[in-house]
Amino acid sequence: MKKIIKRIVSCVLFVAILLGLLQVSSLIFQPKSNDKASGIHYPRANGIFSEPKDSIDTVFIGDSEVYHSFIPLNIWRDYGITSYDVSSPSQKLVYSMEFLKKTFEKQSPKIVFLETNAIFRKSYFEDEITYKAEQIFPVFRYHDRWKNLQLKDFSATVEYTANEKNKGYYFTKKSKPAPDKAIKKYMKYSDVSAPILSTNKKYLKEIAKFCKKHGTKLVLISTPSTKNWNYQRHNTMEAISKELGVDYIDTNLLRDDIPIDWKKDSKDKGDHLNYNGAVKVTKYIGKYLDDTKLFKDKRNDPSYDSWNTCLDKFEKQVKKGKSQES
Amino acid sequence: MDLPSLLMAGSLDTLTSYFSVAFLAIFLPVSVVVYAVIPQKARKYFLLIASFAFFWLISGQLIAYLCLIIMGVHYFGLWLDRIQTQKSAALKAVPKEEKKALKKVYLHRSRRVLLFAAVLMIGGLLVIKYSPFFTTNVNSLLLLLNIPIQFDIPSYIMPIGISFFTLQAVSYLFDVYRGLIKADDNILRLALFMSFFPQIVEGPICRYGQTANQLWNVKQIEFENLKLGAVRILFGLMKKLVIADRLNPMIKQIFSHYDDYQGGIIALGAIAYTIQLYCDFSGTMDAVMGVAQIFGVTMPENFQRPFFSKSISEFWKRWHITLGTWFKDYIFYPVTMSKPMKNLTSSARKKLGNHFGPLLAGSIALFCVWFCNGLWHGSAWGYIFFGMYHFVLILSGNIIAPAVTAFNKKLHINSECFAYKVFQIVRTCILVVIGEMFFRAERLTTGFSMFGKMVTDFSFSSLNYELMKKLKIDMHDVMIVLIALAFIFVISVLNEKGICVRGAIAKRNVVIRWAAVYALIMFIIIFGAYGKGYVAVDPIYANF
Repeated sequence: MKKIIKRIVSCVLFVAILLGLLQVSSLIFQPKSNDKASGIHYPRANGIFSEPKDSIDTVFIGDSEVYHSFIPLNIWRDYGITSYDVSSPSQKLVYSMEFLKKTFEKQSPKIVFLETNAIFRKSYFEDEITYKAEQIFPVFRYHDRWKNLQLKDFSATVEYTANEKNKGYYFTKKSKPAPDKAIKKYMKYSDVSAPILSTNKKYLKEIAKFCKKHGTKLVLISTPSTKNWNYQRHNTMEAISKELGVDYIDTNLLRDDIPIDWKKDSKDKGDHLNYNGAVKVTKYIGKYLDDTKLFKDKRNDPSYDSWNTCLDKFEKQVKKGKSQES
Repeated sequence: MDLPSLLMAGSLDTLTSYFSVAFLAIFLPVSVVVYAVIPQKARKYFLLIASFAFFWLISGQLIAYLCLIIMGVHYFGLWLDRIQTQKSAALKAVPKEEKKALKKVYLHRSRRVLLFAAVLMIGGLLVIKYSPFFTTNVNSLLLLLNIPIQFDIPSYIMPIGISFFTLQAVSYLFDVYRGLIKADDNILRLALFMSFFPQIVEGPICRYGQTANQLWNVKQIEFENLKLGAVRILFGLMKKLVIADRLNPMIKQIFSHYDDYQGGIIALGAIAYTIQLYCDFSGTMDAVMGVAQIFGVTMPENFQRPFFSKSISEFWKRWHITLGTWFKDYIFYPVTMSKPMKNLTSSARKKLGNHFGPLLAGSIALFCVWFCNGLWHGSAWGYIFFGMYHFVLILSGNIIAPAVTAFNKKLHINSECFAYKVFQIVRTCILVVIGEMFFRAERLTTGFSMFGKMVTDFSFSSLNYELMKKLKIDMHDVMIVLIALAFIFVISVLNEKGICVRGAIAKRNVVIRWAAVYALIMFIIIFGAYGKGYVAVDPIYANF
């Protein structure tokens, strides 16, 4: 019995010291700011955490489809509504949930748009475990920073100060037309529904519950993509949105309002939109937001001057036409 | 997460790797805890259920194939055993002069059963694994002969570990046939021997006599085994994550764009791939042995410091040992000991002498071994070439052995001195690296092009820092790989001297023990190639 107690105590002690080591290393490896130089993952999306408290009216959450489709500064220009693309490449819903929760720590957006592509992404059970481990011990996420570790990483506190000038949007004018075959097949009617993993449905329900708890409207939105979207997926999302009692916008079916020219408006053969395509989607969404009458026009509010500065810079960038670094 | 979604096909896709989160954080801990809390009597059955669940989570309905193989092995094993029993009974009943003839009758009967069973087992493997390769080559031949017939190329999904458990099945039947073991009438014990989850993906290829009873008589988990097993898993994890996976982007870059690089870079790629393959496979074996040790099972080792080998034949006694011994026991010896080969040896001995005479029959057997070895690794000409390459090297080594001895004697070269041994080791390593380059190359022709560049376009100046930048690897990566390799080298040297590092550390005081384990854990967590920017690399041998 004594031996067993001794073993249990030594195991507990061993684990406790290990957790301590993980905690200390996490403090060191955690990026100290939210810009690229600090080593943070997805600095564009993380830029929202530098925005002044309660300054963002609406957020777009999801994978790369989001930061290729919605131009927050165009919405600002047209309606004075502040929005942000909180999106990262191949974002899985578990990470969408993380971004959402972190966003609400500082912001109170009235509408959350969740792009639906991630809902059909294959999600592994271990993603959840990895995510939890990264949450508790950031060293698991940022361990690769050992290559760029500086002395200040051992002492400085975390402070997110980097200003994301395009508010999460990724500007590109590159154009590669979608193949004719894909255009022909695109959104061909079907009464079949595409399957989704129960893990993803669980997260979707959690996101809906979270938004409801915060009095925020959740809107599911499918951005135009010949590669990622089809009628089967549309059917699934329509059914789920009804089940959750939330709005669903499928921009793929709004061809009159959003006339995407798949020969010109795609960056990469129908997968993502380029600037031309994003302008069309944003125009529609801007009007949708304005029609809700939930938001005040803040263009003349001096506390939002920085948005006008960003807009000026963005317009210059558009004029230049040079795609930004990824 | 609810159970149905956890068990949904694809939700544990990465279970094929013993280093995946799915295995290390879910499957293994759950198995260990359940195993520890259930009654002793139920443990062996639990291991069997866990093994079948593991197989099913990876290969789904293809578990039916494994079941068929197990049932077949059980049935044919008992059949062979029955023939042995009948033979013993019959021999007692006949006079001495008839015994020889009767033995022959029963021998032929057993041989027919064995042959039939082996054809079924190997046939299944051939159809599933090799029919696309065979059909592609038949189509090419028909095209070459201007015959307007083309066959559809079949495509099958392979059950995980088919190449490994098929060899275990065949070895069991051979051992029963040879009377080395009694056929097992307990199909569950046989099933556990065939499907034990730590070994099903990449081996080691165990013999019935080595593990079946160990597995069936498993006991409560011992604290010592748990600790040592966990440390061995960590050591394997270090090899895989810190070295193999960190080198992967560079290797991929060089092998996919070899045309863009000079011979020096291609040589670097070949060396890096050899290191990757070793760390990937031997690291996985460390994990396998570690998991087995947790359950108190000792498995045969698959690696014994292969890069300390002084010849190619020694290399293959130290690399993938269980595959080598399988080929030796079930191909090399049967071929060498067959009647035609015995006749050939005796007649060749008279004409060619005592060295070259037996070498002739041995070479034919060696050819069969290396042809099968190459083909076992995959259905492509590159793999067959890989087998033939080693066949030629070993055969030439055997042929020139007397000449080398005479040469050394004449020049007073001490073949026992350190410098000569280092020369032999370096020579063997170079030959191995060249072989592995062909092994990794997309096609056989690619392998030749790369080799050509390595020979005709080699310069050390190509290995400059500027070019290194384009190889998707930086100096930090190189530095950390070198540190990890140095660590493995020191451990290997100590092992070679008969010192078990794990055991030695386990005997030290708690501060040193724990510090060593913490250092290993933190080294893996910080310097492992995982997470954003890295693609998890599937275990290389799981595809064979």
